[in-house]
Amino acid sequence: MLRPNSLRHQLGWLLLLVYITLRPCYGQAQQTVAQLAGKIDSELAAILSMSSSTKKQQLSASLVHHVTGLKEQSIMVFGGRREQLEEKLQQLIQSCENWQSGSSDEARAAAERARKFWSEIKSLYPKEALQLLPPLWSCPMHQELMKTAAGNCPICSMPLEPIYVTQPQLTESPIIGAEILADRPLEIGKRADLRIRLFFFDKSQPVALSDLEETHTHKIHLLISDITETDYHHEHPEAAGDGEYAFSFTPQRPATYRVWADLRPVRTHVQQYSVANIPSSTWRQAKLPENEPENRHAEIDGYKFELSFEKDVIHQRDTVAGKLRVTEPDGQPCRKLGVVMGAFGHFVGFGDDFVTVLHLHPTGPPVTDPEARSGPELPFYFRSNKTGLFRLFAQVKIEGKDFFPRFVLRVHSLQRLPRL
Amino acid sequence: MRQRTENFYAGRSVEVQYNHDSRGEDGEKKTRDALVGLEQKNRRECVNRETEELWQLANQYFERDAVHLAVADRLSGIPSLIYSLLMKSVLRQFCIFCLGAVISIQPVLSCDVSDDTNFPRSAALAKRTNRPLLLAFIGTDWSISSLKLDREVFDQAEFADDSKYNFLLCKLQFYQTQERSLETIRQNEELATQYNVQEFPTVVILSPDGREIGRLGYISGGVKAFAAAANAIIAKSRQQEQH
Repeated sequence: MLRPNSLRHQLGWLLLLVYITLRPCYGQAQQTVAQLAGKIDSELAAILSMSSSTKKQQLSASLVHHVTGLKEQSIMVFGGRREQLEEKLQQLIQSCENWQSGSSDEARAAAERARKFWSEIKSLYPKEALQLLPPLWSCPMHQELMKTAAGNCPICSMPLEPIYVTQPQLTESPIIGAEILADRPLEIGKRADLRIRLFFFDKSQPVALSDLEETHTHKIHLLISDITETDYHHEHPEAAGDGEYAFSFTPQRPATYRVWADLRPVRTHVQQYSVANIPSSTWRQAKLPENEPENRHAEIDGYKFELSFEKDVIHQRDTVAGKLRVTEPDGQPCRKLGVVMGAFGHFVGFGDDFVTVLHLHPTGPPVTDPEARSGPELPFYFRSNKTGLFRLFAQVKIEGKDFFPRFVLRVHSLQRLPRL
Repeated sequence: MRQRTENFYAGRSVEVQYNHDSRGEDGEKKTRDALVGLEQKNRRECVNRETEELWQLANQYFERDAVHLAVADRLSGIPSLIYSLLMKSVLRQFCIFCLGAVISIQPVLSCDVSDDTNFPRSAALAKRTNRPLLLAFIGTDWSISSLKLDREVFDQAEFADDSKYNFLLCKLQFYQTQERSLETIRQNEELATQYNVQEFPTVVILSPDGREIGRLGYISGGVKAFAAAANAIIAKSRQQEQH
C-alpha cells in the first residue's frame, strides 16, 4: 500500500515551489505611456550635458529600453498614425545609438535629431495618454465622486476608498489573513472563548494593534455569522499577544460559523475583511435557504424594526437611500437609540454566497457624545454590485441593550434582455 | 402582441452580463460548496471517529498538531491529504494564501458587471432589437476623462434604465496596466482603426444597421447630460431618414 506520507511531502514541496515562483508576480504593474514618456523626457534633457562614455552608454541603454517599452504600450494609437509612430520611434532609437557612438559633433547633431523626433512622437498620442493619472479616491456609495485625497464622502460621510486603477500599488485583495484557534468545538448555548490569529499574507508576520487603524472606535471588528445567516454577533477582541486576539460569543445555531475580521491596515489605509471559519462539533446539515422571501420587518422584545427604501425594487450598482424605523412595544416611536461605536446604529449585509459582506454606514458625522440619543429613524445608504439575496443586520442600542434585527433583501439584476 | 414583444426586448444591453454574473455567482457558489463540503467531510469523519477521544488527546498533550496528524491518519486518501495540508504548520501558510487568493478574487468577479465588450454580438443584438449602439472607446487606467465617463455615466444604474435610454452599449477597453486578452486587443484595435479614433474617450453612435450617425467625447453632468446628447444625435438621424 502506498504510504501517503511521502506523497504528501512531495506535493507539499511542489506547492511551496509554485508559491515562491508566483509570489513576485503580485503587485507588479506595467508602466504606462505617461510614466515612460516622463522618463524619456528627463533622459533627453540630460543628453547634451553628458560627457563620460560609460554614463553615455548607460543613458543610451536606458533610453532605448524605455522607447521599446513605449512602443509596446502604445495601444491608443491606430492605423496610419501607428505606422508613423513606429517609424519615428525606430528613428529615435537610431539617433540615440548614433549619439552614443559618434564623435562630439556627430553626437550633438544626433541628440538634436532625437529631441526633434521625440516632440513629433508626442504629438501623435491622444492628449491624456501623456498625462499621469493622479491617485484618486471615491465613495463606495457614490462612485461618480472622484477626489485627489483620502477623506470622508461629503454626501454620506463614509470613508473614501482608493480607485484602484489609479493606484496600482494598492490591491483590493486583503493583505491580512486570519485563523481561529479553539480549545474545544462550539456548543449551542454555551459561551465559547476563542482566539483569532491575524497575520500578514506576504511574510506571515503577526499583526500587532499598531499595524491597524481605528474605525468606529475600535481597531478590530469581528462580524460572526452562522451559515444560515441567522445568528449574527459583533465582537471586539482583546490583544492576547503575538498576533492573537481573544473574544467570546454564545452560538445559538447548530451550524458552521464564520468570522469576518473588519480591519484597516496602516500599510494601505484601506478597509478589508479577513475571513476564517470556526470549528464546530454542533455541525449538522445546515444550508442557507435559497428562496427565503424578502422581509423588511423584524420584532425583538416587543420593539418593532422596519426598513424602508426610496425605491421598491433594489437593483445592483444602484445606491438607494434607506431608513430604519424603530417603534416601542407600546406603539410609540422610539427616540432612545443610544450610541454604538460612534453612531446611532450600524448595518451589515451578508450575501447568499456566505462570502460577500456589504459595507454599509449610517449617514452623518461620527457621534462623540456618549449620552446622545436619536430616533425613531436611522438613515443610511444601501448599494450592492452583486445580485441575489442579502441578509441585512442592523445593530442598535436601546437602554443599554444591543438589538440585532434581521432583514432579507433581494438585489435585482439590471439586465432584462434574453440571450441571443 | 407586438408591443409585448417589444417590451420583452426593451431591456438594455447585454447578454454577456448574464455570463459574467452567472460565472461570478457560480464561482462563488462552487467556492462556498467546496469549503462547506470540506468542512462537512472533516466534521462527519470527526464525529464518527470519536471526536471526544481526540480532543481529550489534545488536552492531554496540549499539542494541536498531534490531533491533526491523528485525524489525518484516521482519514484515508484525499481527505487525509487535504486535512494534513490544511493543518501541517509548514503548509498552513500556503493554504491560507490560496484561500486568501480565492477570497480576493470574489470582489473582482462580483463587481464585474461591465457592459458587453464583444462587438459582433452587440452589433447583432442592436440589429435584432432595432436599437442604436454606442461604441465606447475608453482606457480607464490612463485616461482621466475615460475614467470619469465610465464612473459617472456607464456604471450608473440609471443609465441601464431602458425605459429612459433606449440604446445598447459596447465598451471597448484599451488598458495599459490591466490584464487584457489578445483577442480583445485585436478586435478593439481593428475597430479603432476602422472608426479612426484619435482621442479618448470616443463614443461612436451607430444606427441599428451599423452606420455611424455621430460621435461624442466626455460630457460633464452625469447620465442625464450624456444621454441627452446621445439621444439628440439619434433623433436627428431618424429625422433625416424620414426625409
